[in-house]
Amino acid sequence: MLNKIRDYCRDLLESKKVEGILAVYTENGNYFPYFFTKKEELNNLCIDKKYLLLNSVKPLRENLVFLLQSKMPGKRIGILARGCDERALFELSKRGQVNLDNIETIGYSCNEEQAKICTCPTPYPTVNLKFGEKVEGVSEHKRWKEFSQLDIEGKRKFWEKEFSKCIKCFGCRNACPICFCKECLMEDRKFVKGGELPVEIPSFHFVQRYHHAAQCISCGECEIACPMDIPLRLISFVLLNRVKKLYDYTPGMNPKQECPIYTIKEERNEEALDELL
Amino acid sequence: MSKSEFEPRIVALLCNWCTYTGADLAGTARMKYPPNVRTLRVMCSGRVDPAFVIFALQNGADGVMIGGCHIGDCHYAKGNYSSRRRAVILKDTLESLGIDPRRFRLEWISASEGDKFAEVIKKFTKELKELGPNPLNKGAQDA
Ligand code: SF4
Ligand code: SF4
Ligand code: SF4
Ligand code: FES
Repeated sequence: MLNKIRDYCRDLLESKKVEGILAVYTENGNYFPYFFTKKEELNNLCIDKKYLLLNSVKPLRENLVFLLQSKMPGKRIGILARGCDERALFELSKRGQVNLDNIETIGYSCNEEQAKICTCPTPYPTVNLKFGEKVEGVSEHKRWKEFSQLDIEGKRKFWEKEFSKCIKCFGCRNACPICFCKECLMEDRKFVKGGELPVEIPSFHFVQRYHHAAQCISCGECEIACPMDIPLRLISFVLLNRVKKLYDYTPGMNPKQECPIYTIKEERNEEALDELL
Repeated sequence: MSKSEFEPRIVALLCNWCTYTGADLAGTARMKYPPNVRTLRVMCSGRVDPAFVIFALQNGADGVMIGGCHIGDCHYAKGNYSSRRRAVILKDTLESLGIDPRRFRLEWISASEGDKFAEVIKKFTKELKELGPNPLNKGAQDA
């Protein structure tokens, strides 16, 4: 697959269809995102290391694609995209963080092993899959069985134990492609004490989970980043399922479908909500 | 403290145009309702960030209520629609976090429904008494 992708990218660059291609560059075992503009560089293009290209650059809190777009307005930009890159791209475009015009995604699928590492239900781009086969994703959290058996008090105790491990490193937020707010509620000093442990339980973690109820693209980066191994996405799975059931919405699947929590356009299903209250 | 003595604390975030006025009416009409509620006025139920609910529950409230205009009557057109969409997700989030979702309510009460306000507070207080103190409070009771 790698050679095919390199060839394809070479063609894109040679034919000047794109100004350059955002992908992962590897050298001496290191890897980082890179904007490929010369075809000779493509020998260093790598596809076996995950690096979410749409993640926002901290502390600017703007993503690479947006930065490239502002640097070269109107120019066509290529992105070598995994499933999560594509999903992040769609969700960010709905929130004005990137412009989908003039973007060419070159989609490729991940393997089962990667899907396991990420706990990813859709390890491939759903709209522009160009290379590779769709493989089965992982749609159950590894601690779901244990968690779902708990009653309400059990869940509270579960989180009290888990959240008190948190060292407030903000890894979960910084690694998340959907977290781009310049003023983050997780750092609002009215609500969260600076530099003190333990964290506020459960509000500190609530903020991010809740804010992502209808935008989490299930990339797994928050949990991968967490040094304390806190199973944050147990909550995300519950919320994503609810949003899917109520509004038939899965973040990142359709660039045209608007986020149902923030846009009240079609009044469908509205009355049914009263029953859930 | 035994359950029968327990007096729950309710934080009510009320929309300026409807529910807050409704609560006012309940007061001026001298309707009887339990004194367990602390009201906070907001401009619209849609202004309430669900984080406020969590912060209240974490800082001493046993129950939190958001009060807004009836659907269709929001003075900012769609504030209460968003409020309702968020409330549903909020209930799920509370449950996943191990907080009984019955500790949170969203109610539509208009400016003329002082009696409904009193009724809702009565009902909510009773329910919270049955639920007992909010375990997030770590035993901190009202001084
Ligand atoms: S989150 Fe999914 S699409 Fe992204 S790298 Fe992991 S398996 Fe691939
Ligand atoms: S899985 Fe985690 S990092 Fe990825 S979008 Fe969801 S919350 Fe953000
Ligand atoms: S990554 Fe883990 S330890 Fe760090 S702030 Fe997030 S939950 Fe806490
Ligand atoms: S103004 Fe009352 S709910 Fe919006």
